[in-house]
Amino acid sequence: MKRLLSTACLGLLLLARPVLAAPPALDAQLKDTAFQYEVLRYVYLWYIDDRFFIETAKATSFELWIRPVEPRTRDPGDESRHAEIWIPAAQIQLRLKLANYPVPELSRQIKSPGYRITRAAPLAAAPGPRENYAVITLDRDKIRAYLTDNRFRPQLPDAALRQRLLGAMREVAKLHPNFNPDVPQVFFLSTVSPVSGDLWVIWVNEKTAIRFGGEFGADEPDLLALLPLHTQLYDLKTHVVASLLETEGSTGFITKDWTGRILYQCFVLGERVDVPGSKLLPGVPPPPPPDPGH
Amino acid sequence: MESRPKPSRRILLAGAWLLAAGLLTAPTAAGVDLAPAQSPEGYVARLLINEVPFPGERGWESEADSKDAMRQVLLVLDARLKHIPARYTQRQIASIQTDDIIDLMTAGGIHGQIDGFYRDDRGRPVTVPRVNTRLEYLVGIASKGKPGTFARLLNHAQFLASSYVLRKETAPDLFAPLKVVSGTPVTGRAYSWMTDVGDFHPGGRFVRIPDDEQGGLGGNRFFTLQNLVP
Repeated sequence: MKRLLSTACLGLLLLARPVLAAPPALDAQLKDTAFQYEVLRYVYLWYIDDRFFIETAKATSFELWIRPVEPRTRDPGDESRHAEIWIPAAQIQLRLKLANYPVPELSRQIKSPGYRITRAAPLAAAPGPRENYAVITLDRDKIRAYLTDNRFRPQLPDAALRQRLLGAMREVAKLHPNFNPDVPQVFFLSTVSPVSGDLWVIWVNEKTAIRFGGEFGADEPDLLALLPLHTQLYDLKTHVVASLLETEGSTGFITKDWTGRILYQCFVLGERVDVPGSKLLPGVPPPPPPDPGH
Repeated sequence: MESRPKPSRRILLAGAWLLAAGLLTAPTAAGVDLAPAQSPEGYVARLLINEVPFPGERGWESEADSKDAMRQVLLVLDARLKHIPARYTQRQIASIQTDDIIDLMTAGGIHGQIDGFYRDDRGRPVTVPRVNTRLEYLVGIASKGKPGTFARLLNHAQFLASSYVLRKETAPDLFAPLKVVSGTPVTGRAYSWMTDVGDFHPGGRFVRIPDDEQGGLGGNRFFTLQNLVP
């Protein structure tokens, strides 16, 4: 009898054990190894530094914690997808978005070609329980080989995106009449990434960094005429600091570290574009787009 | 004696000049009603529009998110004007001592506390050209078809600004109740915001409000202050 009761109690205990939830289902792109490598490549270029490699010198693998997330608010008809990636080894949390929503005023759908990083933040501790994420384990040596192989293979804007970027750059320049129109104006376009919507341009003459950001794809060059690309300018002569702690409360500064990364992507890996100053004066029409047949 | 135009003609000439200078007009479109840029409520509205994303722009989440961000940006200004926490000075937080919202916004010049909003040589509150260019784009889009998200956002910015400047009304502050953030005692209220450019803000007196406290709104990150009172 005692044995029977003990067995029954043990059975009940076993049945009462919490069943671990299955990890969240990821869509095809989030599961795609090539996409995950692109995310790591972007993080390598824009966020991590020597400390990461020192602290992970003995690691044989890296984890990516990935999960779909629902935004705090969502408009009717918005079918955008959102995701979060935590990279424990880099102590970085990323938020990503695959835009897909209508803009009735423009009679079109805003759709990004893939997930793009919209936000990055330092995060040393896991943002949630491990079982809430799909945990991907990547071989460290393979990642290092990938990053090494691609270190000097810049991803440059394709023809349509380049055209849009040049047009936006000209529009910004026209709004800054203090430049000397008698000398060529020199710009450097940065590299791009399939996982980021940020586009950088360095205006050498004015020592200014220009960031364009948007959610539409590179195959929609006419959107420049319809939508202002959200533009932010950084005067590199006066608005670069060692730490944002020097400028608490202000909205327009960037750090030397971030500036260095922008300059590297533009000067070293990007493309130089020279424009006669006179072509950037207000009222001068932009040049026609090149004939795609040539 | 030099003949002078009659007063009514002087007024007409002055008005024509102001009109040409864009100082009297406000961007208009069907369903959009913005106060002139030279008015305090118009100037504040332009800040709120400038600081949040519209559909298609970086950081866009939803109409409600951008409206919340507008409200919280305005409340940062209010906090800097009227709610300086114990053991802080207004000058430490806002780089100026003032009870005027326009002075607060324009403190530090063209690249001051709020990038792109400053006083010109004549002391008039103005913005850098790209602010107005973007506004004109947005108003132009808002005028297409029946009023939608663009128009509602533009009007909401003006509603918030007018409520605050003209009627002295303040909206509820999402961050006022905060007492502790990531283990750090805080004052509550937001005292700063930054467009999320990728740089990290590791600490200091400004404390980053995390996502689980809705500290990320409209593509911006909001910051409260360390509570220095034990």
